[in-house]
Amino acid sequence: MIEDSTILQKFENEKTRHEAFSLLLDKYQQKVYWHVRRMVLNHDDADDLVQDVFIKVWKNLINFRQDAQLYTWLYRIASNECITFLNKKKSRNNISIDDISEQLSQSLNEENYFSGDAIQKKLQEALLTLPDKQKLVFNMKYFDDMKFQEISDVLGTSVGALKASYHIAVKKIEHHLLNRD
Amino acid sequence: MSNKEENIDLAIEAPFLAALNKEPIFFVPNQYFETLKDQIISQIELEEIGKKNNAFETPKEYFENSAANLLARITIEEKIENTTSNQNGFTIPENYFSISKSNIENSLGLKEQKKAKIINFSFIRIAAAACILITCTIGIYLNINRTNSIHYQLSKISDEEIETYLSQNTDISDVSLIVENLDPKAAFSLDNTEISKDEINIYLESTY
Repeated sequence: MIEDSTILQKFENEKTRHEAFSLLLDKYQQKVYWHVRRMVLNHDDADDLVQDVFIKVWKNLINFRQDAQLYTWLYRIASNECITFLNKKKSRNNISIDDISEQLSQSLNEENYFSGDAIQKKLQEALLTLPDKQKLVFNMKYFDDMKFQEISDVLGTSVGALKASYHIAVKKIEHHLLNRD
Repeated sequence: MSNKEENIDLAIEAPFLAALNKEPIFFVPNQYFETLKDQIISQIELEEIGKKNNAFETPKEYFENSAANLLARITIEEKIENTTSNQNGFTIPENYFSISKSNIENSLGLKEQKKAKIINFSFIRIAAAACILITCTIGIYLNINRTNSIHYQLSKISDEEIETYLSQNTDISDVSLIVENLDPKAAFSLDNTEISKDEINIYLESTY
């Protein structure tokens, strides 16, 4: 797999900029998509957000400082887009967090959105009970196997606080999976 | 802490969760990821075209440098303003001219003099003119009335003219009228008048 440093070097050169961005998309588009999709659940919303994320990446990659990891920088942009989208959705519809969770939960029942079995569906329902930021922490740790330090780079939160948040999230979800029908 | 070590806690604290399959469980349209890259690149190219078609273009890094340029310009303007306001390039203490006058007055011992009360004479002038006009008017009016009165006019007739008039225009019937209108306080009386019989006869002869 191509190194991030190679992509960035190619991007700095105007002649190879499009090639570099194509390589970046090949490497990260699916990771970013699934990160976004787990947060918003709906494919169309995720599709719009992923395109927005990569347009922002294109515009700002020239200013990217190489002391940070490209991977965590992409996740940071994607996470911020997700939080902004969910907040807008809540304020636009003027509905409570419980109601938005209910809407998202209904999306899980639609056959063309969700392919998991009953226990997977239960996991997703349990995730809907978490606050957005805690859900981000859980998703990055549980599904993407990211280190706490990497998650800290993405969210700008201390490792200790992230560990505590993840621990609480795990307990809530385990409790949800074991105790609900 | 390695990734493996970080996951040990999950296996102990949430074994049910740790045992779940982590594979993606959401449906994605067919060929979605094959077309996603092209979609994103098309979007970016559209944005680039839109940017190039902008009718108003700014120099490269114009907005990045505009704030610094403006501040530099303001600094230069202030310098120029300060130089021109301090004549001949000399600097003066702040608010010097505003306090210098009072300082000079204090040092000379000048006190603020009472302002003389100014009386407005215009009303008095108008009143005096009105009085003179009224006095003159009354005087002229009275004078005209006096000269026009019957007594004044009669007093101007000489005795000779009266006598001539009476001699020509009176008859015997006027005597009684004259006698009736004689002033009882008149200074003369028949008793005090010594009229001779001859005079009476002459008078009677001439009147009858």
